[in-house]
Amino acid sequence: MKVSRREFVTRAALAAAGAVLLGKKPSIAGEAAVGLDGLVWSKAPCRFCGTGCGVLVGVKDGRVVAVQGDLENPVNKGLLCAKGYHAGVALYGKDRLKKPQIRKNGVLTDVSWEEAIDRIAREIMMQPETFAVYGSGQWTIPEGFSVMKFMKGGLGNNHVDPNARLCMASAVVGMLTTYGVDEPSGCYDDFDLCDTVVLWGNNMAEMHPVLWSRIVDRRLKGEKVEIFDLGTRRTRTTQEADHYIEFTPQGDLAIANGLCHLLIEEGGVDDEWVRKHCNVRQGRDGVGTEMGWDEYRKWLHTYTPEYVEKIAGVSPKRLRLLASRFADTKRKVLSLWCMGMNQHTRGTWINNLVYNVHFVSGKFGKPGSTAFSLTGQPSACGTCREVGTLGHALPGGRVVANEIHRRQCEDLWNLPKGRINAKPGFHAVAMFEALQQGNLSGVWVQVTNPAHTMPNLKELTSRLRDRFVVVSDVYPTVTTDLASVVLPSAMWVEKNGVYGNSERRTQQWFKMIDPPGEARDDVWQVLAVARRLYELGHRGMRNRQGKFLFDVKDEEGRSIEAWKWDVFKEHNIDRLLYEEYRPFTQMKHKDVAPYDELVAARGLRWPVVEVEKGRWAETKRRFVAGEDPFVSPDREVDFYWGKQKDHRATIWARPYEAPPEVPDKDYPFWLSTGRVLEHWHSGSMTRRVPQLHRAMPKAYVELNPADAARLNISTGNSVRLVSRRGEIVLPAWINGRSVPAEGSVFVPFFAEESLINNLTLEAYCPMSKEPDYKKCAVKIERVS
Amino acid sequence: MPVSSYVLRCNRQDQSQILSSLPEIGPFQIGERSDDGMAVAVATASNQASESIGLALSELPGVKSAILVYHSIEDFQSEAREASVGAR
Repeated sequence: MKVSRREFVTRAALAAAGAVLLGKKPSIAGEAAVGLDGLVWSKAPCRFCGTGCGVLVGVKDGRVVAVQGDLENPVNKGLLCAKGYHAGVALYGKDRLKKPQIRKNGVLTDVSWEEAIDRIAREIMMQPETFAVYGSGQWTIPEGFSVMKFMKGGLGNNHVDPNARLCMASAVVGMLTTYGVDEPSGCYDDFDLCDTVVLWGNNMAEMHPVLWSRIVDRRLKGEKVEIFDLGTRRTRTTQEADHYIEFTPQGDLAIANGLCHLLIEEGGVDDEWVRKHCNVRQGRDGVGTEMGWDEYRKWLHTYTPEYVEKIAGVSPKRLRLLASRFADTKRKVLSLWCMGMNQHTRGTWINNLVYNVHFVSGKFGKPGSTAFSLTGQPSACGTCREVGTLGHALPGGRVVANEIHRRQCEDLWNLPKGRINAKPGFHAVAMFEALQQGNLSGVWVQVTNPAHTMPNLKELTSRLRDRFVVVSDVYPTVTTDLASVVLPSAMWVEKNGVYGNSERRTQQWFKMIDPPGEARDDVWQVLAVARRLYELGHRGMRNRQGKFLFDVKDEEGRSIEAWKWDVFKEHNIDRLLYEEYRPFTQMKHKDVAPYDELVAARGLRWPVVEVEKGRWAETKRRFVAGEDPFVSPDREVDFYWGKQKDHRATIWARPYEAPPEVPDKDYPFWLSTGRVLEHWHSGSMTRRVPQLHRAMPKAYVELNPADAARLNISTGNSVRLVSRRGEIVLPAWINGRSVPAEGSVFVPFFAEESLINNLTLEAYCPMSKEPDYKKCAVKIERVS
Repeated sequence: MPVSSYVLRCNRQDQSQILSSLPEIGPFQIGERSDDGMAVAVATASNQASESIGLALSELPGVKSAILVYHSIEDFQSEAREASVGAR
């Protein structure tokens, strides 16, 4: 019997669904394989959020034609969210950038790659010390690594910072100040084991839907999993929560201290855990001064339930309810957070304080009990944080201000001694301030859209047209509109890549299809500009022997002229750069797996060590005996990078501090901004997916129904929002997907025709330099 | 013409009612079944039809969640045209 192609594919689709339902192992291996449907299927991590879901990508005739969740990937076990299922469609928007362009007489004009690369190199040659790179948590690890070598090892300045500064920096500094090293201790396995989940300002149902379903599915199977949702608006997450605890913006600082106060005064301290594994410090910075336990207890006396109620609006009864879960010695408690805590003018402090609650109650480093920072971007961890693409950092947890660290990196990069500049570069907000003021002459923007996503946009990006701005991207954006040069980039499976997700899992994929038109890999773009600078005589583009900085060699030790596109695309340069990067990771026990191990696996969580010849083992939980290879078996938990060099984590006494801008009689509402399920950040990719665009076509302002009634505003009415920095008109949405607390409004930031960041405040956490997009003051009025 | 498959999370006792409702939504093929769900697949005329079906599935009485598992965007019309080249 003849079977039509459609029937054939339908049967394959049915088989895939059956496999997910029954948990069967699929047939797709690490390398590409032909499926039942005749497509060539290969694995890749999703290119959107930081969850790191495994995607199986079906290719036919050089096009991605199908996507399915990877059942074999332990992150998502076959599930994907709406964005993940349409990741393939996102490749095929009709306005993909396909030719390099240079602005000539005010107009972006198609040029050859040679002309574009030459122009960039000559501009950099004129003022190399004031040229910056602004990158992304969507950079692959080899992309970020190549930029770091180009800038810090070649150009000799440290002006590299990523958009991850806008979303993860507070989590990073929170971990550094708490246990001396970045990245979480726990992992997603803890989501399957916890009894209680505490969400700290985190709309997980929309932002991390697959991880959310991992928790909610446990309930569908009859397991008891209790969910506390601490928030400033009711969301889809709230709909599933057992307890919604609404708090006044910035009140989370008081809540966390109030919990510790209750645990100490009313019972709930794990004395042995605290005594063995913690020290206590006080102060406003990352150093602080020593504090005794009794002194800490006394310091917390301010944070009585009544005081917390006054600051945060949470009743003593609700606070005690939450504290009782931490006090229950048998209960496994998992805290999760993302932008709600990180985009905060005291983002570092609130990260410290949530660790405090877990440390005081001993709910850390145990299966199902941990404090876990979720990540927003697919390789914010792998690239920005582990490679260290930040103004002050070097790969592998090194910092530019430390001479020993600089020498280590110069040795590994084969650079002349003294090449790496000791002066930290600009962080993201400061970088754009410097561009405004002319202290930076130019910037190369890669895989991100700062003219859309920086706070207080007019103040920070209005003079980009006056600078030399290079943008590497896949679609036109409001940032390419301001560019001097636009470079068309390969996207996702159009290139090789390696990402690192929230749970320290490094995942690799191979190129599956060619990029459209003349689009090329970002890694190649960096190599090509570096080579042109070398040819123009820039001394920094030479290594210790005077050869080209990127002296890439194949397995036989032969040099590869990787700056030539025809040569580049014939080799897996990713593998070579990744293996060059790997020794850096061993300096701080962040040992990533060898590339070839990643090829065979669905990602591996570092530290990954060779337990016997040829057998590599990953680590579920860091700092925990029996799991982390760097912890001796006689220790329960070992914070081996503890700041005080005492193998302990720090409990910090950090006070409540009011936000810099609060509602007043002129601007009486809180404004919070954020993402939505359907769109990835600034929407430059997901708005090109018809299904996602139709589902969420435009921005809106959510109001509380009581406020809306008082102001005579109904759903669909035009509403003007005005802050001290700008204004915008948006349609109102009342009782829609989410409901903000009375006295506050919420606006998503994905829509480039409705740039809410013209209103937001550039105030940032003084320790992490991460801006607060969640709190500023606005007035609202119905537009007749 | 997209092809999509879903896992419908539902109790065994609700499955016969769900099965009887499915033809009203689309031309489904039914696959594996278990105590807590069933696998279904459907080919639709357009992406928009596919989106509507996804929504309708999640709203069916007895369905706790409808999880999209496989999504093909292969162009069967051009496939058919190519297949006809050289045919008798």
